[in-house]
Amino acid sequence: MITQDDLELLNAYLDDALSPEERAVVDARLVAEPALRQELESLRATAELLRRLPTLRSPRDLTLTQQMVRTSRTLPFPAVTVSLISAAASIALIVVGLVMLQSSGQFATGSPVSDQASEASLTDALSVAGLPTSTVLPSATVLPTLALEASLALQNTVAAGAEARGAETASPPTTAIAQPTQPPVAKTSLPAAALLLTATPLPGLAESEMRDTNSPPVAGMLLESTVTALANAMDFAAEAPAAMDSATFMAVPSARPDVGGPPGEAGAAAEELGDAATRDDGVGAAAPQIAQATLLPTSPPLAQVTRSAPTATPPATRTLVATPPVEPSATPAAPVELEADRDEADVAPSPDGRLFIGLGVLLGFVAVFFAVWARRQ
Amino acid sequence: MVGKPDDEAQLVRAAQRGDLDAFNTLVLRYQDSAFTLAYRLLNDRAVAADVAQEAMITAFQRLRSLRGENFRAWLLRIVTNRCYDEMRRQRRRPTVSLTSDASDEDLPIPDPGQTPEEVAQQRELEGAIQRCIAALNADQRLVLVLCDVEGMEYHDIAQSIGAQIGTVKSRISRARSSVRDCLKKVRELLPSSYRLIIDGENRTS
Repeated sequence: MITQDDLELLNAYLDDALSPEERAVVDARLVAEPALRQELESLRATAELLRRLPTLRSPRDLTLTQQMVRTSRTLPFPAVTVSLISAAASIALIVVGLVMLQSSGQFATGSPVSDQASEASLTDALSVAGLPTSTVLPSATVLPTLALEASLALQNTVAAGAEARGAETASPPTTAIAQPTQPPVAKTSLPAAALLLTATPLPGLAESEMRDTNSPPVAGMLLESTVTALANAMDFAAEAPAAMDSATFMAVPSARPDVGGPPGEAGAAAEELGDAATRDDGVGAAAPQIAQATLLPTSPPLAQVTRSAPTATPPATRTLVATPPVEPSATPAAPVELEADRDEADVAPSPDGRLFIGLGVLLGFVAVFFAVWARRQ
Repeated sequence: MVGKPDDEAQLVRAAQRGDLDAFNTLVLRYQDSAFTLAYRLLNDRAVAADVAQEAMITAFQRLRSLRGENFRAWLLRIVTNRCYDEMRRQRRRPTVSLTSDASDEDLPIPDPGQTPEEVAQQRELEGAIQRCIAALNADQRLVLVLCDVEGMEYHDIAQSIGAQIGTVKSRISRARSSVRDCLKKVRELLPSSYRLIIDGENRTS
């Protein structure tokens, strides 16, 4: 009985498509099995009949005319060209967008708008909180953009604080750690850029530490204002699931401090933070409570914010300390210029960077699409 | 039919520079091969001629991508790809009859030594074989024509149609067996030397 495997073997034998070992096996079987031999000859005859089919004459000349060439040249879509241009434009847009984001969120030498926005966010926060500008440590040669970074860290603290609501465990201190897995390094490759879009907070070179020695409302003012200033720039990271997945939040509610003063006009986020810190009333005057939000990228630390609330009726003082991780002398730091008359509308950073990156990613998909199309052509 | 290699290389280079006359010289040289391949695959004269014509246009457009390769093999690969597209289109909208529509004008000039009866028998046999090929499904038809009509090797076929070698082996085996079984039904048309061989008694499981 001839099986399909035998047929496949015999046809490959005919077409000289077997390895020497396989051919030897078939040769041995052909000697021993007359039926197999007859099948082979039958297939060989079929192949020969097919090969003897004549070449037919074309019913018409297939020569080309100038018109056919001219017409046809305009018809095919230049998929390869479009793909290459899209890819180049995509990379350029993403790079430009990243640079814009970085300059608006990190570097003091960034665009004037960004600098003003970061300055305004800090000064607005302080003025709304009713704090004299002198409460900012004079020694803190704060880069204007540090306010943005501080707000970023505070934003993480808020998230942690919100999670801590309802938690019954009382242990000091309240700590929120957000650890993005993607280092904020600009990359030109499309997937990396896409990851960067969703998983990376604004990078920073400085470490800021803010201590709030008393009232959550005051912290809330600063927090809300600065968070607002950064909200647009952080939308991607804050909303994208990838960003949430890549960050680990750990919150442990601390022994509760006595917090002086009502929440006042502080934002809901600040109230949540305050609630988280004040949840455990039974502990009373414990050790100084610390709500700490630490942003730990795989690259050097970006920002660290520590909020500590002492126990009973502490003085309404708060400090904002900004410390660049590099030598201070090497950092072009400048004293914070505090102005209380900024318009709130000036606070929001320009969304152009994100727009550029979004367009870049879109063009990247276009490039991939036409590359695949061109390959199929 | 096939020109000297250096002559062909010169024509290709001239055509690559945009010389349409040089390209048309190549077209005239290989248009019968292109049409025959298209006809074996599509079994329709008009469609085969149209597809072959489109393949010539495509070839002229992509001539710059030809680098030292045999022009005929390169051209026939373009024809194959166009036919494959057409077969896929027909599979979605089947309109082609399985009846061979070869006409006398397509057939090669008969051998002067053949009698009219022999010429008629030969054409009848070729028509029968073409119908057997046309009865195959598109995938099997493609590999069988490339292998047995065009004489391509398994590796080249696999590369040309984007399939694994094992798939090509399997398809060729099934296709050739199917054609063999089909030819048994028209054994009276076969040359006597083939008749007994083709008409074996073995059956596959």
